[in-house]
Amino acid sequence: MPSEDRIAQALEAISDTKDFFVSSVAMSAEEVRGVLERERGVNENPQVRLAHELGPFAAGRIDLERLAPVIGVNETLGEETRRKIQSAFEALMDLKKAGDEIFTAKVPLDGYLRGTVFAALGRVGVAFGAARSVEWALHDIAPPEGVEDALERFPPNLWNRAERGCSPPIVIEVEGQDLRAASLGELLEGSQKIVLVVNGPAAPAPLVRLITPGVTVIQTDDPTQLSALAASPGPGVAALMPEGAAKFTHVPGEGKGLNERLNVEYLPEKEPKRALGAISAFQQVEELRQLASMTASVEAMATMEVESGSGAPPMDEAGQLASWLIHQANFTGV
Amino acid sequence: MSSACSLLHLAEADDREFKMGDYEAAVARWCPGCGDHSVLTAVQRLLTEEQLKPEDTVFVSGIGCSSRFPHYMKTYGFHGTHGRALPISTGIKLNRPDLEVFAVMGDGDCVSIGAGHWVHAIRYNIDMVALLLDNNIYGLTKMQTSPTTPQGQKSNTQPQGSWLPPMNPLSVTLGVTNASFVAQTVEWVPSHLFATLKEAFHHKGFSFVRILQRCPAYLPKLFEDAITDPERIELLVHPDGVEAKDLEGVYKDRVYHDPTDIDAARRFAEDQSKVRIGVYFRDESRPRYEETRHLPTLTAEEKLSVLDQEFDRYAV
Amino acid sequence: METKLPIVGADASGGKGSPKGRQITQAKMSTVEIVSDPGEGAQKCAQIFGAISAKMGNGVWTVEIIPAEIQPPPRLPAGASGNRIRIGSVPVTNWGDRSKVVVALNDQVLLARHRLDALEDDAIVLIENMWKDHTDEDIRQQWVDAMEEVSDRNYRIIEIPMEEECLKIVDNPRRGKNMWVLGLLCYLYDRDLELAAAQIADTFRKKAQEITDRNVELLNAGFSWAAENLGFGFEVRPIGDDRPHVVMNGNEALAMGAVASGMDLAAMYPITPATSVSHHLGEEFLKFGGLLHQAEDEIAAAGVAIGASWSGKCAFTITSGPGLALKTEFIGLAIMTEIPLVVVDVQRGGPSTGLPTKVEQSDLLAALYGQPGDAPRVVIAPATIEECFYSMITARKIAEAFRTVVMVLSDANLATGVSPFPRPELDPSWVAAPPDLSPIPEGLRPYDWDPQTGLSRRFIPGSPGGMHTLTGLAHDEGSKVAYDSEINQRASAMRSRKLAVFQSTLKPPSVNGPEEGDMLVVGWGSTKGAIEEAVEEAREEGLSVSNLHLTFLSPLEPGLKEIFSRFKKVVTIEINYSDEPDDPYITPENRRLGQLAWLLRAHILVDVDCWTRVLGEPLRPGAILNAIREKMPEGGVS
Repeated sequence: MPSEDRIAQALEAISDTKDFFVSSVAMSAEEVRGVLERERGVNENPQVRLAHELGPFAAGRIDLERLAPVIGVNETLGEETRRKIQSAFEALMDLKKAGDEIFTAKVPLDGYLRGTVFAALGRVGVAFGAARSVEWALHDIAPPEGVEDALERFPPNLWNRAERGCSPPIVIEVEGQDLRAASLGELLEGSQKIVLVVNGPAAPAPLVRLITPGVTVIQTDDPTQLSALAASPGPGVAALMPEGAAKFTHVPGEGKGLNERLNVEYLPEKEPKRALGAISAFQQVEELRQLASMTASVEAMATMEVESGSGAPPMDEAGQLASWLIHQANFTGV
Repeated sequence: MSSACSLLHLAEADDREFKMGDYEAAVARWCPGCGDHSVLTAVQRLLTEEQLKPEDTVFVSGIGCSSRFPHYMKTYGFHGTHGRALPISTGIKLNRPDLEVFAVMGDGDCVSIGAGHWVHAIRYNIDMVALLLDNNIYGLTKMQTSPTTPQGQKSNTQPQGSWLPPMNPLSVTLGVTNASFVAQTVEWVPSHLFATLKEAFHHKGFSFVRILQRCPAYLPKLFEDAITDPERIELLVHPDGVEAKDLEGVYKDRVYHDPTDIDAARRFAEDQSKVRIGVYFRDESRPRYEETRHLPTLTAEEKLSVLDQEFDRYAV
Repeated sequence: METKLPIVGADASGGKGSPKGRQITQAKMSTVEIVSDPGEGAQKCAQIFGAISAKMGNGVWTVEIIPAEIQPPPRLPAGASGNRIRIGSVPVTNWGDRSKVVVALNDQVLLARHRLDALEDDAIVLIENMWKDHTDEDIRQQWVDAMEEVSDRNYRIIEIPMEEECLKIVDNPRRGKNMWVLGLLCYLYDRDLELAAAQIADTFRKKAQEITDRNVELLNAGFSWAAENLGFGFEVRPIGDDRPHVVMNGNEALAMGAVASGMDLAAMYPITPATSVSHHLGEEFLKFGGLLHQAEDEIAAAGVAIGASWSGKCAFTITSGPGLALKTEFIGLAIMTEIPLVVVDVQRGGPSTGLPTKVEQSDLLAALYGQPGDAPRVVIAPATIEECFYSMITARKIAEAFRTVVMVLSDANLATGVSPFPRPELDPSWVAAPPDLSPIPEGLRPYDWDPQTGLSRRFIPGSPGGMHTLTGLAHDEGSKVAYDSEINQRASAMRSRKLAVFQSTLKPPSVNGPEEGDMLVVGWGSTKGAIEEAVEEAREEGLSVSNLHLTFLSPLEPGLKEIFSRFKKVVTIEINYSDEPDDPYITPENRRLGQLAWLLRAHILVDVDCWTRVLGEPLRPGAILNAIREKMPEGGVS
């Protein structure tokens, strides 16, 4: 399937998160418009503005010279402040109009995956930068250190906790040989969703290192499986892999135990023998074995559950592991 | 309406930590011994534990003793008209899904004058918490019969005793299409009250909690049996409901009830031989009105451009 | 009774333009109506005819003729369904008096119109003749009886074999006869056939192409038949206004205006004749990210709108009289708590279920004073379909700026009338921006009334530091329940003050006609067009009469006393009930007046007379003219 189609599928899969972000940009643009509307510019004629706001029904009926001083468009903003807010407004409007393009990026051949993701998030993160700029302008605060032009780029290292909870999803096109997934770990915070559309030959289980209890990790060649990524509230990464790679989903919301969270649909038997670009064969084999051992423990836990009966109240992960170990050691009934 | 968040709101660094006192407004002026006090404390504890931002939290009430509730919370409050807390809450949630909304109603408010709204709010299943503070009597207006007043109970409006059997708010709620969370608790067991409120708060949908409570002024003996005799109480326990492990020593009558079982829930609600507390029913898969109606937010410019296209259809 | 018309200079060519030898009557205004049993498509025919006329640059006012029953059996006067279309070489502002031309698809629907006095004495009646020689003897007899009944007028009755002609093209003329009639009307009024064909194509764009093709064929056939058989026609010249126009009814205009105002939430419960606003919004709002909430009842609709408004942008609710009654307590709450809210009342006949589909202006006093306690609010009344659009923008802004309820009084006349107006040039400033959620400065209170103006900043949930409990109880500046005896007095004064402040920003209304004279006619709302037409006619007759039309009913527009003092007599003309001065038992002391008359007397201590009718129809300019003649003060005729 051509990669444009797969990108479209990836965007479709994260469309709820994307729409939420776009709506938030629109809402914020409207809020900033509200600020500009309430805070009259020093040189602005309030009557002219009121005439616009009230529309033709008021024309000839309402005396704007009398109304203007009454309904409080008196506050003024300095020219400089107003200009800054206006620029932030325009930045938000530009993002709103930009369409899907701001949610996608491509890693150049032999390029650095993390760098591309970081830059792409920095570009769409201008939404946060613009909102911050309004705050700074209104309260006459200088932008904190490390911020150059918040309306040009505002990368994830500058986002606060609340912003990371509302982070924009991103779809990244990458060649299999450049898919060094571990580098993405630090970006998987808040509600960050990353979808990787992987082209060409790829390692069999490159995302396995990202499996940690709170992160959704999906490796698949079936775009419909991406819905689990969109549905999870926390951070997550999914890769639309070429054929032959392992297929699994790790969804934190499914339960506390690894056996509940992890579902391995396909585990390749053949271990890779050749390096892919800078990714050594050894590393690829490591990843695959890690997934295999996880699969084994999940299966064991499942067996244990059937044996112990399903009516008992569910146990936490430690409890499950302990009873599994006891089971393995044949200590049951002691 | 749209689902979106204000990026401006996020931009303000917020490292506040809220303590109980941050949610306390005026000193509550209910009668000493009134059950409303316990509910207020439990709710303030819930807000503290959940660290809800006071400015993003709204308490809506109608008219009655319990409807003074918002005045005692240091959050936003809407003390509206008799029986209409739910339409107001609906309007708030439709316009501002980002706010946490609690409706606090008395039995007159919810079960009598506002009964029509109650039934429909259950069906809308908007994500909010609705508390029915049920003391079986009108207190603010000094002892008139309410729909939940026990049969035979004398009052100022029915001095010969209430003519009819009381209405059962639980079985009514459980009978409404699209009910998604129904629980009952009592104000005199604070840990159960708190645990129930917490479950209600975390449920995605319209969480209806009936809280049985005493009115020391007009019906002081109402729940005396249940308070003094733990055997009158039966706990519905479940990991997806309230487990109430701390109460094992006091309340021996514990029934493991799976809250997805609506038939069992209805049987438990119907049977009045015990005061049965816990989560009767919960189902997060029920459609939520505000979710089904989400639409993308548009800017003014975009709206007008759509409107302009509309005018093309009417152009001559 | 004239049943056959000699064919004068029939033109058999069927071509466009005015055939030679045809009797052409030039008209400034001409009113035509099409009536049939429901389901025969008279309304569609009329809508297309109205649209073509608007496109050709005529003034147009179209109004539906709605059957009195939901599913009436065929051939029943109560089932008469269709449209009246008034076209003019000047803008048309009202439905007019009686129709000059009527196309009737059977004798019984003609009777319906005749009995309502809807037709001019010398009206041209174009009637389907299939009933005259029908196989059913009863039907033949009904035809005879009907012709007998209408014979007291001087109608020019032209029997037309519509069924027979349509059968040449379609198997079932019940579907399609309307397009044949359209062709006939296009000939009579010299409409552009290509435009008509295009309009048909647009109307049936969602159906199969064959349907459009067949309808155009019927159109052409009707036109050709008329060209061969009817030797007369009308010429109604275009106005000569080149601006682009849009054509819609008042309810559509209200809905579009709501969108333009930036209001995002409408809550309603179905009620005639307001419901069609929500029909429109139900579809349109989706495109704008807005929400139309159909509540469980009228009360809840008000509550939802209030909850929404309180927590953000101003919302609105739409209703009609009985619904307004149910919303009373909530409207009082919104006023007491100073929550912006727009309430649209599309008035109908009352009280109780009254005349649910018919027009009245009977809610004025309820809109002003419907609440127990003192509940000052703004009441405005759009007078035209165009104003229905623009009034919503102003209403929203005023509601938010003054933290108050703004009532918009439309009525069934505007709701069902369809008329073109210049296409609005959209302005982003109309669209409400989200409200201010910035932190509330320390010490500011939720009702920190400016002692001069009564205005204060709204505290909206989400604003840090603004936490308070809004209450419907009497309260002070801090929204604390009033225990101090002075508080309620002060708070009432502050809420009332806002109205006075708003009034001080209104301009005195303008007088249509000479600034002084014998009589001043005062109206409000949808009657403007009919009143102005009548008053101008009266002046042509030499009467010294002017008129003034009020848009703001609360607060009342300023300067009225001074304006009234320049006229010997002031009379309101309204569609609500008032006692006739010469009726039994009626004295000047006990006479109950029209609602505006009552209001004006109370406010400005002037002896205002009134002429009002509750006939379940819009006022006819001719009837108003008669009233003016009767009400003229002694010696008023110059």
